[in-house]
Amino acid sequence: MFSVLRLTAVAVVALLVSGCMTARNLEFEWQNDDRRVVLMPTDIELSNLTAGGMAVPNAEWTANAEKHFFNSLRDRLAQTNAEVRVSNKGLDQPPTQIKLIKLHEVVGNSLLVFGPGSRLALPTKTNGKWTLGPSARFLKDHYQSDYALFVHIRDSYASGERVAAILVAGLFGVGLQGGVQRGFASLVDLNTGDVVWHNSIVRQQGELRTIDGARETADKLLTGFPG
Amino acid sequence: MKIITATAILCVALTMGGCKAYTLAPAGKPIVVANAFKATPIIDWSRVQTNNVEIWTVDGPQLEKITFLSGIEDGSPLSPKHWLASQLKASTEGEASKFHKDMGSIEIAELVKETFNRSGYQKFTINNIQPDRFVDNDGVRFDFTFLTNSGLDKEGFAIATVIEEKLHIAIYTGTKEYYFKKYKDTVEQTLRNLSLKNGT
Repeated sequence: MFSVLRLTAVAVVALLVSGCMTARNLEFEWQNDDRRVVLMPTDIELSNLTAGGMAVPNAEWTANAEKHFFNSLRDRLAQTNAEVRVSNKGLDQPPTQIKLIKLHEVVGNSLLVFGPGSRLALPTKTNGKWTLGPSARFLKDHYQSDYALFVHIRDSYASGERVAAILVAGLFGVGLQGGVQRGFASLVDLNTGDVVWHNSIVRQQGELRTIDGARETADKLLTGFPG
Repeated sequence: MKIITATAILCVALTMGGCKAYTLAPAGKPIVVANAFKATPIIDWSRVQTNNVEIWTVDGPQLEKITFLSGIEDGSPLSPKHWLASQLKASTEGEASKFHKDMGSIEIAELVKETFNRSGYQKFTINNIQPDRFVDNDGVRFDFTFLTNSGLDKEGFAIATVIEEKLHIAIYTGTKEYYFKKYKDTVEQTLRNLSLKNGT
């Protein structure tokens, strides 16, 4: 069971990385002067890949990356015409906000895999409309904002043992998966809950354990963000 | 293990025949579902089928979906690998529960619960088990709630019947936030009008 799952997971990552299964990104331009954007807490997790390919979440990496990445996102947004606001984090988050962040994970995943341009695009989603639903309006009132930026990112790094396993397997012509960075960002209209802008990255590069790496990933993820 | 978690959630798309693309089930056009049922969709659905398992969704199977399982034979499991995305703590211990032809309503509901639990979903709670009609036969209907591995609340209902010692079941699930309710009435109506392809 475990090995089947692992093989499937590796196959999925390979497909995602190759781009054959990822959807086109959504483009957007500001429609008026309502540009107050509240930055949601980043849904982030960093993991260490063991020799056997098991990804073990690393709390220290994650905590540091969360801080560096969030600051990088905020700095990057400051270069746009958006009026940036920061949401509550951790235990100070309203329950509706937590629900919306969890919902964003599956909406973003669905957009990534089943959105227009993907080989698995759903025939019922050709309109490119994806939404978090009317509960998003709570954030409009709570933060006096017009839009919310949601970011979900998962990043894994091969341990020394994993690197050795990759090298040894390579000698026998077997390819093993190393670390993968997979994330997406969505700008949500807080009047409707609709995702109006979306960008995703799925790659075998990226380094969220350093300030420079976090900045590079934030820039990459916000490529095409309205100016 | 995290690489599994991170990608298993995406594998829901791939569990049906490996990267099999969904096709359109247009509104108003009668179709055969899961090789066993006749249905006329009220709205456009995206559908994908493998043998006796068929999934319908509009926005994506993680957001909402109907799963049709037809002709589950005595002694067979519900084969979740074809329709449930496995989660981090999927159990590999012991033997999966199986359908038995003499199961009652509560046992069928428990079979569904065990199948979800075994696939790693958490806090699966059954509510409102009651008699109902399904494909023009007496059957059972029940509601349920559960959590995904990331803690997302989901809810659903199932309606099932046993005909000639085989289980037929339709399960609708969706995120508690927005998507389950979005299509619930449409799904109820669709399932009420479902019939067997070859009659009863």
